[in-house]
Amino acid sequence: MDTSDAREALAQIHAGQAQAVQEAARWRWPWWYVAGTAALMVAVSVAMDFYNDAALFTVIYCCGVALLQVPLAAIMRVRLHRSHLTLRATWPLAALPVAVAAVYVLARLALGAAGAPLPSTISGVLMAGAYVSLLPAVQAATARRLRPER
Amino acid sequence: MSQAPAFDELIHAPTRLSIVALLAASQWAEFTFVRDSLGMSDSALSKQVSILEGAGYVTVRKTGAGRSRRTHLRLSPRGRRAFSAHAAALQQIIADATAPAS
Repeated sequence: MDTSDAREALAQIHAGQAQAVQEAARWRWPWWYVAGTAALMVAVSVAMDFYNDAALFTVIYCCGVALLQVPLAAIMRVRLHRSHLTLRATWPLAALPVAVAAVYVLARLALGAAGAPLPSTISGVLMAGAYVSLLPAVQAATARRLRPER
Repeated sequence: MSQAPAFDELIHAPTRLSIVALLAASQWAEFTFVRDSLGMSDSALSKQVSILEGAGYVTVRKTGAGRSRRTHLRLSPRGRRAFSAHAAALQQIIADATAPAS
C-alpha cells in the first residue's frame, strides 16, 4: 500500500466518523417531550398549593417523566456519540435539571418569605419557563462538544 | 486511544471501512441510518455486515416485529480494537513515508 492509499483510507474514516457525530449533534428533543415535561412541572407545582402531599406528587412526576422516556427512546436513531468522554460532552444536559430545580426552590423560598399567594404555582411556572428557554442553548452547547472518538 | 498498528485486510475494503468508521463513532446505529449515510442498497449493506459479523467485528440486534421491526448494528469490542489498530497502521504508513530518511 502506498501513502496516497493510506491517506485516502484515513480521509474515509474521518468522513464516516464525522457523519455519525453530525447525526448525533443534529438530534433535538421533540417538542412534545419538552412540552410534556414543562406541563408536568407546572401541574405538580400547582397541585402542591392545594394538596400538601409532596411524596405523592414526587411519584406522579417521576412516573410521568418515565412515561415520556418510552416514545423518546423509540425514535432515537443513533445513540448519542460513543466516547469515553461522554460526560464531558453531555454535562450541560445534566446541569439543566439541577439549575431548573434551583429556580423552583429559590423562587418558592422567596415567595414564601414574602407571603405571596400560590407560591408553588408561581415557582412552577418559573421553573417550566426556565426549562423551556434554557433547553435550546443547552442542546446547542452539547452538540458543539461532540467530537469523533480518537 | 493507543493501539499497536495492525493492518486489517478485512476492514480495509472501502465499503467495509466506511461502515466500520461510521459505527466506531456510535453506540448502536440503525441499519437504515448506515444504509442512507453510505448510499448503499439493503442487500449490499447486508452482505458487508454479514462478513463483518462473521469476523466478530459487528454485533447485529433485531427488535420489534412486522412493520416496526428494526435492525441495529454495533461495533463489537473486537471490531473496535481491530479498527483502532488499522487506523494506527494507516497513520504509521503515512508517518514512515513523510519521516526524513536517516
